[in-house]
Amino acid sequence: MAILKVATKEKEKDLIKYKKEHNFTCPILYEDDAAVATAYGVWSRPQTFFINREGKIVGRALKEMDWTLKNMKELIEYLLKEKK
Amino acid sequence: MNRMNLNLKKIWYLILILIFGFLGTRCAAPKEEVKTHPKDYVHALKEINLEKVFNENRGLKVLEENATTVHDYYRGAVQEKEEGEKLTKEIAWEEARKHLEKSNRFFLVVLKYLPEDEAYRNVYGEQAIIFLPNLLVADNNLKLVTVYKNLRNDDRAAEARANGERYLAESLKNVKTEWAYEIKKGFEDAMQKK
Repeated sequence: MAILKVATKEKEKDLIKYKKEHNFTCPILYEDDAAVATAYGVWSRPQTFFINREGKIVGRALKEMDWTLKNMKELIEYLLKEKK
Repeated sequence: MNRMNLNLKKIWYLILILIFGFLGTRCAAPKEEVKTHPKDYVHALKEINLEKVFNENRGLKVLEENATTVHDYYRGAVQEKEEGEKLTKEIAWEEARKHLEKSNRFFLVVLKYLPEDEAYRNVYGEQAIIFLPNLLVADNNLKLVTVYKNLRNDDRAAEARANGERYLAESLKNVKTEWAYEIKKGFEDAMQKK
């Protein structure tokens, strides 16, 4: 499983500080022109996309979620079990 | 070596979670208002035009079954419109009709929730998009007049013109654009050709 955060129109120094403060290890894609956000049709934040091994979007969350909840864990586990 | 790389790739991409939003996730509200204009300000064609609208809504194709937000429907409507316009230029009238009508169906969903046109709508921090669903329905109908005429369906052509003029008037209530006046002229010309 790979997690990629996309930061659009944020200040680079704020991102570095934020990453350090929260001890994030996942990569952050920094984009100033919102090209990726536009390509994915992201018009509100936060949004989370689940992309399966075939590159297909299989899920999308349109608001802030608590990923530690049981049903969220189950969702991720379900997606990980998905066979090719 | 290639096989190993392939296996690694498979493992790595079991699932990719892409999270948009970072610092701003705690405050999705616009940081500042977009530029405002006096009520009677007429937006020039070089500022607001169809090509710009197409450019702002390209990207992943919005499928009807995946559309969940109003903005999805707006993007989907614009994408269908672009396809319809392309087919119109190729004189593929029947296919063009399907896409332009589908575009209108998508726009009607948008208008149910956001009935007013806005020259610019804040969607992403300071990023704004041209948001003219009424005008785009009017423009679709203008194109549909030609399509229906070529399909020898004069009743539908007349209906499209009447609907188009109604949506054009709605658009002009909130936003004035040179583009809208061009569409208005298009309807007048279409009536004279009758």
